[in-house]
Amino acid sequence: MKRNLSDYIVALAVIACSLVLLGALTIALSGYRLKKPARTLQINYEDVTGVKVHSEVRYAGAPAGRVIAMRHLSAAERGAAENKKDAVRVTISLDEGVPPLPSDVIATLSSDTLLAPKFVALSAGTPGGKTLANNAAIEGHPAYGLEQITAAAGPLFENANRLLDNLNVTVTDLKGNLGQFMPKISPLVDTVKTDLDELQKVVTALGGVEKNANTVLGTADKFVGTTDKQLQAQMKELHVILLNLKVITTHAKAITEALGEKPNRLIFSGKANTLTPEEEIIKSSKPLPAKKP
Amino acid sequence: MAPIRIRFAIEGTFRFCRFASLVILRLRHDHVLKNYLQLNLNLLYWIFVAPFTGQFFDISQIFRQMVFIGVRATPMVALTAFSVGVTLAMQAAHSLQQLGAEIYVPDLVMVTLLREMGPVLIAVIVIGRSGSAVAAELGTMKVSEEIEALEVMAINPVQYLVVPRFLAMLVMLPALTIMGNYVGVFGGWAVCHFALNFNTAGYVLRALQSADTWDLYSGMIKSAVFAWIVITIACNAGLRVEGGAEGVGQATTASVVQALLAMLVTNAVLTGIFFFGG
Repeated sequence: MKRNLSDYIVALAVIACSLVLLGALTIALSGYRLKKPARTLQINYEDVTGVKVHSEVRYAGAPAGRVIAMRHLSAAERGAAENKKDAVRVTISLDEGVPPLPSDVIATLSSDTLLAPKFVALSAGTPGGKTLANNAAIEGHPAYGLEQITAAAGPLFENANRLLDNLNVTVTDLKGNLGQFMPKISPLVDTVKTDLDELQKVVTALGGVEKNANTVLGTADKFVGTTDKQLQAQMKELHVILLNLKVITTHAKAITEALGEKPNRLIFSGKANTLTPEEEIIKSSKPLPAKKP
Repeated sequence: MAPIRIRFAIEGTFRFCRFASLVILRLRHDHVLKNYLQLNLNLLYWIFVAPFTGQFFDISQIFRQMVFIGVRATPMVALTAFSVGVTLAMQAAHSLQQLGAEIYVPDLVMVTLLREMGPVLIAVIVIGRSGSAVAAELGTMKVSEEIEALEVMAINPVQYLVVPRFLAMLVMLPALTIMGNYVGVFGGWAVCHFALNFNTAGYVLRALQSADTWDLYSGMIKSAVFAWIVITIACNAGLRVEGGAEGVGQATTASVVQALLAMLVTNAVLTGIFFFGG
C-alpha cells in the first residue's frame, strides 16, 4: 500500500510537471500574454517580409518592445488608408520604460546585418511636439534590403543593357563609316597643311601692320599733345580779350548814355563822370552800371 | 569522391530493402504481424470497450509502470537530451560562425529538438531501457508459465499486464519528451552562453521566436505514436516468447530492433505527412 502511494505521488507529480512545462512552452511559443500590454502601437506596412510575431522592436536603436500581432488589412481598410499599397497591420507592444513617442516618429523594418533577423525600427522623432496616443496607427516604411535594391536596380540594368546594345550598333556603324572616310582624309590633311602655311604668312604680315599702326598712334598722340598745349594758350589769350571786352563794353555804355542825354558834350566838355573801376567789372558775374552811383 | 558516395548510397539502400523484405517475410511466416495486430485490437477493446462492461483495469498497476517506465528513465533521458543540445549547438555554431550567423544557433537547437531530435532520441532511450525491460519481464513470465496461470485464474493477460504498461508508456514518453526538450534547450544555452557570449534573455527570445506551437505539437504527436509502437512491440515480443531463457534473450533483442526500425520508419512517414500535409 505504501509503495502504491509513493508510486501515485511520484507519477502524478511527473505528469503535473510535464503538463505545466507543456503549458508554459505552448504559451511562450503561441505568443499569448497573460498580462495585457499597457501601450501598443499599430503600424501599417506594404510588406512585412522577415518580421513575425515576437520580432523585436527598437526605438532609436534600443530595445523597446515586441511584435504582438500581425494581420492583413481588409479591403475596406485598404481603401480608407492614406497609402493604398498598405496591406498588413503590425501591432507592437511598448515596454514601460519607453517614453511617449513623438508624432513624427518613423517606423521602418531593419536588420543588423544581411543575415540577421529583421526588427521594427522606430526613429527618435522630434522631442517637445505632439506625442502618439496609445494604440495609435501610423504609416510604416518598407525595408530597404538587398532584395529591394536589386529589384529597384533591375530596370536600371535593363536600360543599361539596352544602351550598351545601341552603343554597340553605333560603334559598328562608326567603324564602317571611318573605313570609308579614312582614304579621303589624306588630301584634306594636305590642303589643311597648305592653308596653315598661308595663315602663318598672314599672321606675320599682320604683325608688321601692327608695328606701323603703333608708330602712327604714337605720332597722333604727340600731335594731340602739342595741339592741346596751343589750344590752352589760345584759350588763355581769348580769356584776357574777353575780360578787356567786358570792361570796354561797360565803359561804352557810359559813352552811349552821355551821347544820348547830352550830345553837345562831345563838343563842350563838362564835369568828368566817375566810372566803375576795371577790377570790379572783371570780378562781377552780372552786368554793372557804367557810372559809379 | 562523389561516385564513391553514390555507390555507398545505392549499396545502403539495397541492403536496407533486402533487410526490410526479410523482416516482412519473417513476420508473415511466423504470424508475428497477425499476433501484433491482434494484440492492438485487444488493447483497444480493454481500454475503450471493457470499462463500459464493468471490466476495469488496475489503476495502481498503471502508476507503478509509470514510475518504472518514465520516472526512473528521467536521469538517462536528461543526460541524453543535454548532450544532444550541447552537440547541436556546437555543430551549428561551427558552421554558422563561418557565415557570421551564429545568432541562428538557438533557432536551430530549438526547432531541431522540438520537431525531430527530442521525440526520436528519447524514444530510442526508452526503447533501450524500458522497452527491452518490458519484453524481458513479460517473456520471463511467459517462460515461467505465469501468464498461463493468469489465464487459469480467468485473468486476461492483456488486461492485467499489457494495458497498464501501454497507458503508462502513452503518458510517460510524451512527458519525458517535454522534459527532454527543456533540457536540450538548456544544453544549447550552455554552449551559447559560455562559448558564444549570448545573454540568457537573447537566447530564450531567439529560441522562442524561431519555433511555433505546431513545432511543439508535431513532436508531441510523434512521441505519442512512438509510445504506442514501442510498447506494443515490446509486449508482443514478451508474450510470444518460446524456448526458455534463450528465447527471452532473443525476444528482447528482437523487440529492441523491431521497435527501433518501426519507430524510425514511422518517424519518416509522420515527418512526410507533416511536411506535405501542412
